[in-house]
Amino acid sequence: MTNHPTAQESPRSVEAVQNGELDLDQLSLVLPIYRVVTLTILASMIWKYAYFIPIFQSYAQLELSDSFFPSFFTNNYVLAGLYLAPIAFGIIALFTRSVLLLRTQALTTLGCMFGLCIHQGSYNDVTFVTCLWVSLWCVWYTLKINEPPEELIKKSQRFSLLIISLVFLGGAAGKWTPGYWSGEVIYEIYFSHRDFWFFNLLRNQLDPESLRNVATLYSRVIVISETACSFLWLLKPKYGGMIAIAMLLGITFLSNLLLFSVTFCLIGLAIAAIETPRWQATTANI
Amino acid sequence: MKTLIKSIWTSRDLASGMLLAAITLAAFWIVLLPFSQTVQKTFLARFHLDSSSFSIWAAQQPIPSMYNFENRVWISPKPITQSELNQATRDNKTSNPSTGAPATLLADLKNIETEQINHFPTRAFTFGKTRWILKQQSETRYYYLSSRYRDVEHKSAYRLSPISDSQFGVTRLEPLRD
Repeated sequence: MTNHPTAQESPRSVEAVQNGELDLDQLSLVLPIYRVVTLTILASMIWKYAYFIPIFQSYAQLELSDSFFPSFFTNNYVLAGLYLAPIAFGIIALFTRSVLLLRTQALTTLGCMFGLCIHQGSYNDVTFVTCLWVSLWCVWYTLKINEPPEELIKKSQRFSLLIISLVFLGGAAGKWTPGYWSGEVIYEIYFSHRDFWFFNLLRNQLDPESLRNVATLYSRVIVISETACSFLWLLKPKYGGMIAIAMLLGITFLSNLLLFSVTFCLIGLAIAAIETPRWQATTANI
Repeated sequence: MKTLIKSIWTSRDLASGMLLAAITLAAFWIVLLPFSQTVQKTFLARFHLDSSSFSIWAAQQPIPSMYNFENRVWISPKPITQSELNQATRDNKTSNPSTGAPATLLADLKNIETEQINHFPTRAFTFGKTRWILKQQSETRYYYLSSRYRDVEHKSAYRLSPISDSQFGVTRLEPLRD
């Protein structure tokens, strides 16, 4: 993917960089990356929509009274607000050039994601954990948006890979157990009854013993590859980002398409790691 | 990476320093998991909504932990003993693979049902469609939860009883002992 000057990002800004006049319109140079990442957070949230609506309806029909949660974090209107605010602000961020508004959007998204991580109705959903880390990256990016573009892009690529690696590390460390190594956990969660094309196909083709063996292999591949991906930060951002995208797509297509809500925003960060803006490539060649 | 740290240090870049510190802190906490039983117990208690306070639990929530640990839930219409729970696990392991509804989504619960859960076993009654199932059956249910990381196991037990047509109460019970 290469950035082409948009209506806002005029060819003049590219010329300005070539002439060393970085200050003239540097927002146009760094904004496309931010918008890509914001778009993927939006995609994560909207992918959740089809699942979120019936969930919300069931919460409206039955409240759970649990003294562990403060009442604010059991309220359904709060849940709806925390879910909808980042979508509304995200859409604004796709069009605005106001740095103040972008910072407000990033901070609001971060706050809402944290709220969703601790609300009774959504605390267990990893979507909001990955979106939280990506929105933390967004807060940082908007705070540093006035830095020289080349410096900002370089740092943002490093931070993108660090965050992706952290997410993989979190997934891997909890799987360093006999249950995952033997495949028992994955067999029961996915292979024994999950209605998904990949597992249905295997159940139809294999006898129970072979199915069990494939589950072991599948589980070990997950444990090893997630562990390996927690070291992505050691690679050049371009290669790290490519491996991350392949891995995230692989996980989603081979286990559960609903996982796109978890992986979309991380794919956004991976794109930010890979992307060499055209103006940067041009200045590098001068 | 060295360049990033050097650049943050030399330019006194507070925002970048704080982001790097947040990532490092979370990574450090995760890396301690295999080595420290204290960290293991903290993680497992978090999965059972069993941290010493809501604030301590909330502070851990940003730490990524998808598909962590071996989590299992047993659901029963009446209180059960440890031996009944063990029997339900054995029965489940010998059953044939199928695409039937998992235990958490069985509306008509007659016996002890069990299911492996990817993370946060308390989701068996707090999350999504499971509340719809509670409402449909509209009777008290008992949830026995277990999460294991190597030699450390965290157990908990919950009773969910109807308070009204639109509300269930969650009561923490003494977990079963071996």
